[in-house]
Amino acid sequence: MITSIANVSRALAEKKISCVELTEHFLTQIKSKDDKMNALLHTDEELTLAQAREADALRSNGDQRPFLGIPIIHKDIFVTKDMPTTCGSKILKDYMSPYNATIVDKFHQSGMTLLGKANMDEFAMGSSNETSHYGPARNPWHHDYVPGGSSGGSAAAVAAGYSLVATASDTGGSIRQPASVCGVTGIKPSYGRVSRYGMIAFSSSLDQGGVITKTAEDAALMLNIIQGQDYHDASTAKMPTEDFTRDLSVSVKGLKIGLPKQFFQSDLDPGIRTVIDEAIELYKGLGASFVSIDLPSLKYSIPTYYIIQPAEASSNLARYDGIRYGYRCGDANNLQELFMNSRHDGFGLEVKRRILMGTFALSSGHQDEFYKKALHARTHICNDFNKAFAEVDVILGPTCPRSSFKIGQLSDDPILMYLSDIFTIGVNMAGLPGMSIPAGFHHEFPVGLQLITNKFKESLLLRTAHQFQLHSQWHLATPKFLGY
Amino acid sequence: MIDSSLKVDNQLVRHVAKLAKISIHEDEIDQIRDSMINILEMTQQIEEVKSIKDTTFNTEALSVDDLPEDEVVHGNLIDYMNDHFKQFSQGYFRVPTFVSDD
Repeated sequence: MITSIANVSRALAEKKISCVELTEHFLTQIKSKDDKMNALLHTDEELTLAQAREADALRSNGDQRPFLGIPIIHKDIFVTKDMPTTCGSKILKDYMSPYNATIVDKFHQSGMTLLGKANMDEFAMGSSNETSHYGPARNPWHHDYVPGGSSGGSAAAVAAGYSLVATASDTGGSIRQPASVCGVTGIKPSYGRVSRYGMIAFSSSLDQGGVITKTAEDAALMLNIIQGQDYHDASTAKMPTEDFTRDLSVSVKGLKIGLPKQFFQSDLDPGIRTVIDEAIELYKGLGASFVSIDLPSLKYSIPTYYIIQPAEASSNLARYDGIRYGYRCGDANNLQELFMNSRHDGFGLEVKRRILMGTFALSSGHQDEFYKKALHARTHICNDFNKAFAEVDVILGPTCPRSSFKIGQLSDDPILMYLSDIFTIGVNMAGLPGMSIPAGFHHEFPVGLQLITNKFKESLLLRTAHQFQLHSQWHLATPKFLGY
Repeated sequence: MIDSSLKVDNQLVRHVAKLAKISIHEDEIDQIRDSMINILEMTQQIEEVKSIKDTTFNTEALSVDDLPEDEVVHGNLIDYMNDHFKQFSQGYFRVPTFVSDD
């Protein structure tokens, strides 16, 4: 019964289970596994159970909200009034926000209860969860391996059965990549579809909040809740809300799916290639057709990303100065030292590296050669996707070039770590919606299939993913907890 | 155009760190310098990107040619403000003090 939000919602409505029973089930999972998994940074059992009891009382009084009493985990990048928000950083240790992020408020208004806050790479800067100040979350399929990042805690929590949904954020692949390596479903909506208010800013032109769930149907249900224009976030799009579940049952027959040449080059791991080829065959069997497409500027996506993103991060993270909130060093002789020492001690190495890179790229004399050039490259990437979507409905490929890797394996080589996001960054550059869904296994680790559609075509994206899951079992696989 | 001869040395790392208002200890500089060199090498690839003239994404609007040179402020910011801005001692830039009615 506790396999999807859709199922649980029905069970609650039919009184087959109470909100308290459901919550206790998840709390038991957390208590038995999270000492080793480290997927959560904050929990408050008393608060969560109180919310569950209140939800049961409301249901008894006739409240029929479909998600009332269903627990959710929020990535620790979303500010919450009821639990600390650290963004995986020492500089925000024990920080209590005076307000909720819009996403958090929307889930709260739908009646969902707060189960905990998920571990993440510090300020979402990482692809393995290893940059978290609070230690890495671990992959539920094997605890010596990374759960991906930056939303590694969210993906690991859903894969391990702590919850059926967790919020996540995606700046260069941070929803899709951990969803892929943990074997769960993740959606990064179009830029502007979902409010970023209260989602701690990292790279404002690329950041987008979304969800990680077990199924595409659940992702559609959750996106229904969080979509929409927000007057607190000027970058949200002024467009009507949609019911993303409406077309889920429509077949993919007749869909034209593009396979970017750049996703299938010779250096793609053959094990990953096999899984993707099998997915392509499944779609062919359902009546979709495939064409090869060219995204020639995609080769610039990593270098472009590592100019634009640090530049924006260096500006966004300037607010952490030891004065207004967060960690403050105790050994400063003057204001300047207070700023510099607080930022030195409060930020981890990867965050400092990116702030320095961004400051350099924006500094006098270098802005034209780096930042402006990167904006030109970004426009080329957008144009490539525009041309492709004039020809095809959906783009398909692997989410990651590899399955999970051992904790520590890439931490000394930032460039190799950055390449983990080689297939996902282009989507953020162009502001497109993208999903990762489980499509098979390689070396006993899940492999994700990435689906991409044109801007604001989430309905088509979710339908394409749902149809795959109707005809496959990969999303139902649960971790064997090797090494636990 | 990206200057391929750009030299990232410890002095540059210290300068950028001051601009970013982050203390960098001497024993950390080499590691940060090396990773900056590697990342900059990777970004060289965008040198071959053609500039876009006619596009809705008008990067010309982002021109910042008129901005002054970056300047690192040493020492106490209040002393610097007093030394460089007469208005500072006259009360400009100050946060208003709340006076209670009681």
